[in-house]
Amino acid sequence: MTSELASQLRDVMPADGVLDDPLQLSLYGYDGTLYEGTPQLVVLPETTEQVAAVARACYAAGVAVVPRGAATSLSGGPVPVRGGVVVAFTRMDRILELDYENHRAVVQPGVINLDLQDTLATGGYFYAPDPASQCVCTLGGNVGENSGGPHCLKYGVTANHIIGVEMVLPDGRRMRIGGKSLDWPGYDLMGIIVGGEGTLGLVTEITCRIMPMPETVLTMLAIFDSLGTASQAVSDIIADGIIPATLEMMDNAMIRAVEEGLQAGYPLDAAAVLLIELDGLPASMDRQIEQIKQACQRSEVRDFQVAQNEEQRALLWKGRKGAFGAVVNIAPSKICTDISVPRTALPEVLAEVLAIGQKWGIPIANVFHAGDGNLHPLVVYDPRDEDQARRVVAIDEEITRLAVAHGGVLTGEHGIGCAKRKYMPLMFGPAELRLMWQIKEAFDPDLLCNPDKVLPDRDEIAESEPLLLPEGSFSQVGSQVAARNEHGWFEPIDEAAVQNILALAHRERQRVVVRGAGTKLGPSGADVAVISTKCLNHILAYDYENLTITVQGGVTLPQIEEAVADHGQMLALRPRFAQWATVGGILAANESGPHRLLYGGPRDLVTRIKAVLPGEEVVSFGSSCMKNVAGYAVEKLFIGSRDSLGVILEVTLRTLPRPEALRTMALSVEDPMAATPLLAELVASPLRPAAVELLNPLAGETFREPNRHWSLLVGLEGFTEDVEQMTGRLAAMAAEHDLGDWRELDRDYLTLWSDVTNLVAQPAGTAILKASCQLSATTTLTAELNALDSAGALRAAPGLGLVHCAVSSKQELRNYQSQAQALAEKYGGTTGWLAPTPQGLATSPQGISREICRRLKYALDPHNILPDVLGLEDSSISHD
Amino acid sequence: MISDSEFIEAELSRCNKCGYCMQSCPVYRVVRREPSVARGRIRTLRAVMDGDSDLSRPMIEPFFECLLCGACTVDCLGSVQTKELMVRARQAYHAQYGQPAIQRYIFRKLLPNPGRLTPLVRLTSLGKRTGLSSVARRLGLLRWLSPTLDVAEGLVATMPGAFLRDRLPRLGFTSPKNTDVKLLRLEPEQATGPKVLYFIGCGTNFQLPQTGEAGIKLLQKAGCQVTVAPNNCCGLPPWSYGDTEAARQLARQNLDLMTSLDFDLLVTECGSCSGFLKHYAELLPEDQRAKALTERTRDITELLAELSLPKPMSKGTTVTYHDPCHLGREQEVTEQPRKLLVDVGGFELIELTESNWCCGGAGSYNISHPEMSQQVLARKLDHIAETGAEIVATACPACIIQIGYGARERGWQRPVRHVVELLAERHGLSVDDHR
Repeated sequence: MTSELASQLRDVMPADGVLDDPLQLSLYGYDGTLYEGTPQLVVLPETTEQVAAVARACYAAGVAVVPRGAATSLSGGPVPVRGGVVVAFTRMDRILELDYENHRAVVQPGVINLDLQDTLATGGYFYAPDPASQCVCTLGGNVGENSGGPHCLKYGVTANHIIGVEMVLPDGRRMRIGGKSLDWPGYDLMGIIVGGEGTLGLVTEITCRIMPMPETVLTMLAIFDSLGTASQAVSDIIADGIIPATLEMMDNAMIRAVEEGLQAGYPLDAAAVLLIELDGLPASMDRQIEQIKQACQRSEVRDFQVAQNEEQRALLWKGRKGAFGAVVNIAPSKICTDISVPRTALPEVLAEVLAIGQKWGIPIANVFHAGDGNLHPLVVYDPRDEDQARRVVAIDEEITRLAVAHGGVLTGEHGIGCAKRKYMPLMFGPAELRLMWQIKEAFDPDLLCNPDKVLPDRDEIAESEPLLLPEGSFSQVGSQVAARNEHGWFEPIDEAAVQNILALAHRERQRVVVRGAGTKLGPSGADVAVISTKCLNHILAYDYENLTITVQGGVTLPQIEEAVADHGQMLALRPRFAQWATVGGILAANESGPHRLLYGGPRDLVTRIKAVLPGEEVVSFGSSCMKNVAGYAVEKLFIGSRDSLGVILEVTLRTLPRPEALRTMALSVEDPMAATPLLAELVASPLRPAAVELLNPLAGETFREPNRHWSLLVGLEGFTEDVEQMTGRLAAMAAEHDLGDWRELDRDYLTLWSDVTNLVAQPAGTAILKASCQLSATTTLTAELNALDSAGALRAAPGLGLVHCAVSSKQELRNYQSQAQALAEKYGGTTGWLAPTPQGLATSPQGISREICRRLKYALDPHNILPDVLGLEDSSISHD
Repeated sequence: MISDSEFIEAELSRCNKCGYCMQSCPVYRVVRREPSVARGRIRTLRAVMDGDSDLSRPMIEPFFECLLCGACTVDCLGSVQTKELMVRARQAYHAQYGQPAIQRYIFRKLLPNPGRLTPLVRLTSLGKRTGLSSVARRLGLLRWLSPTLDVAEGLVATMPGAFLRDRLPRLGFTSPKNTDVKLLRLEPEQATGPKVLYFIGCGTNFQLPQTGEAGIKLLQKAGCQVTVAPNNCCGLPPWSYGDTEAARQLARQNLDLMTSLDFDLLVTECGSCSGFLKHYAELLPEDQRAKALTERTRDITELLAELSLPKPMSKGTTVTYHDPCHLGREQEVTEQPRKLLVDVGGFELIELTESNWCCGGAGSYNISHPEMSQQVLARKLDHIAETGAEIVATACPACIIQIGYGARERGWQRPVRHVVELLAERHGLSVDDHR
């Protein structure tokens, strides 16, 4: 069998690309953990076509495929636990395109993270995720594990930076998701694939977002006499409105090991050292350092140092970078555990971790990402001692359980792999596990892709208790399970009521829609039942120190803003009609405003979603932790699903310290094309403006700037000094491009931007088309869209590659979209309508991703009682 | 099966399989397969130690494929001495399967015996110079290099007409009186520096005599009395091939020849020889003389950087510097050659990306593994080209031959030369550049 497959693979692979020697095979059976397996064969493909050919051959033979990058995994991800063919991507190591103009890099999966960084650095750019193993780990592996790294505190994890992939499905078909531009139609499959641990398919090409390098980097070291005060300092720094690029901590055991091996200059009796790095504009650096110093002093810091030059900076980092290696000074080997907890739980969890080590008589040293609550207790031991090895495994389990007990997650950035799949039921109930299995099957129905990873065995998942529902048709008994208001809409007051009404609708095949504030709901037929989230309007928890807030789906943004204002925080989500919109509606529609440029969109700001599925089950995915890679990121599927998969019941969102200064600068231009060079320079600069929008004259009128010219608006947010510096730089740029003077708009910042975002005065009556394109084409596309007949108010975000167009004339909608679509496609993008989608104009995903979306929709909503927003219904799909 | 299993077990136990060794293994970066990186080699050795695999050549080809550059140990969190492990594995392989007869003959009979070695190389050299190499080949004189003889011949453009030791009388060396052995010595104008015993390596003597000549003249100018050591091969080649016994034999022989002489420092301009001479203490732990010699050994760049040589008027020539593994990584001599190029040579130094990555020369690796060696070299040449420097400087004959070969293959005009050659030239010291 194997030899037959081997000869088939040799036909499609390069000469030395198939390994079958037993000794060589054994070298592809491990990663950085203690787990091991033996593959039947190993292939070393060089092209996507070869990967597809391998997948086809394996699929035909019913043999599993196991993707493998550099095998630096710390969760057993690439270990072939059930044999199969290991697909080693190390030879697919070409950087395919460095597209600085559009802030994108396209790479093969075998490209080493640091090789990309080094190459980008020559062009003045960087790719933010920087896992500790970046010198050897591959981007394909990073995508699989949704890797983090020290800089994720400020810039987010891998999932926040991948915008396109090509993937070979287990049956050998090739699928593209996303691309260089944003917001493609369909469910957020990317959100599942990134962090899917190679269980859904074989990623063969990656398009990632790259960013201009920060102008200034400053590194500080603070030494503390207690872990508790050091943790308090971390909280205080962030509470003071500073988000450092990194906040790394080491405990005493680690300090001692580092000093023995490296002499980084840490005092041996210190309880904790905190390494803080700031990056950004130079203007505010002195004051930020002073604030950080004061926060540390409040926590009785023993010593506080600021690196004065590159040499000193390297010295401060020396201990942190050498930490993993330094533990050999304690014992020859180690395992690196990985848990993530809410920031606020850090001190307690750390103390308990040390107690676990003492209990088992094994030293534990800690070096961790304190800023985002991600811990890596290093359990050090001698692998030659079998008893020690046994105890180490027990410690790993206890630490994992400890995290969950404190509201944390099984893994923050290393993945579940085969190492932690048995613990998945600690975090997920049967409904969630079943749903993750359904997602797995949507991609990999024959379960051939990296089997026995992430998910616990399906037959071990318990059955759910069925709900007891009254007998009778929906119209007869609907009112018994949930209250109805004067319009006849259901107004469930709690989770159980939502669950009941959906379960009833599911049983009775009753079509339903979900209604929040009504800003995004189109007309629905009389035969459709409406579920209003009006009574689900409670703020459930606000953990300001952890910078998270948990609310019910019917809560409005003003409610949240009011709650967080007392602690000087904000929610960086500023979508259309923010004064009315509910959180559930905003997420369902995946709406954001111009400030997505700096803060990201809903998928970047949501850490957890609880939803009710039509099949009566309540599922919760995500957590209050900043980092979480336990299981598939199913919460992302609900974002942008427009309530077609389930009803969003609860949401946990990240809050942020409110910026000290807010300022809007405006510039009038006669011809939008004349602004192109300035815009290109602005978005490529390290200024990091919060929002950049180009408005046509009609759009200018809606925000009370009557002006026959186009307006360029720039939103600046941050420290006062930085905003001043940005203003000065803007003036210099405009002067350089002969574009006249900026005006500072003195209207209230948020009100002004709210008007800009809305584009039209009222939610109803005007359809809004969103066109995407590559960044550098934004102004061109904007001008061309503006020239179309029936173009209304229009705003463009050159830093995002998005154009929003208001189209009022009903009969022209279809025509306008087809013209716009042709233009957008020319510039590498597409179009879609913001909610409510005009009747019959839903944009569907195409090709294989459409098929997968349809499978997902069927898995979650088999009777199609929720709206078919993606137009998936109209073709046949075999449901058996 | 493998001697000193305690050492090996201790090294193996520190491998966490983190894979950081993939970072700068030049061989791995070419082939991108697990058997060819330290983690895979260590795992293979683990299998051998556990009896899961034998040492038959196809199984352990990766052990011989290692450049022994030592880069993986620097990147390794546990500093596993993979280079040492590979040498011991090679040693064990020879113990079990025997060393090829001709290889054994060279290491054990030829290298310790200049009376046999020199005429043989002279004949080869003559063949190369007169186009009679085909005759030499037919005579089977270089059979031991087979089957890659052509590669070996191609590596060097030409062979020198006179070996360094032949040239010494012309350089003004005279035999000092009152010595038991026949020695050659050169006195400085003003004896301000240490008394140097100059170690002439095989590569220097036979292939790059001008580098040794330049080194000697610079030392003389810097106020050193230079006595030429009556040494044989330092022992590095047999050690690398796993013939530790031959290496120890050569080392002992060199100690016999040198320790009784009157000198302050043992110096050579061959980075590989200076590295291995410093390794004598470890190689012959039982021999007290070894430790003493190791302590007195200096690479020439180390010594020259400490001595005062005038700085010439800068001519603005650009140079880039390649760190030989045995000098840079092994001896941690990296600053001195650069400092010499800038301060004493007046060159403008352009840093080379991955300057400390092995060039693929690795002793005679370019002969034993020609294809891999060329691929490793290609990466080095690409980086050199990026610098745009006019001259490539380095400090080991093996690297000069390897990179020089690559430069010729690419049709470059930029010369590849030893630091001391460049310095000597700047100081108007004429060196017979008859290559």
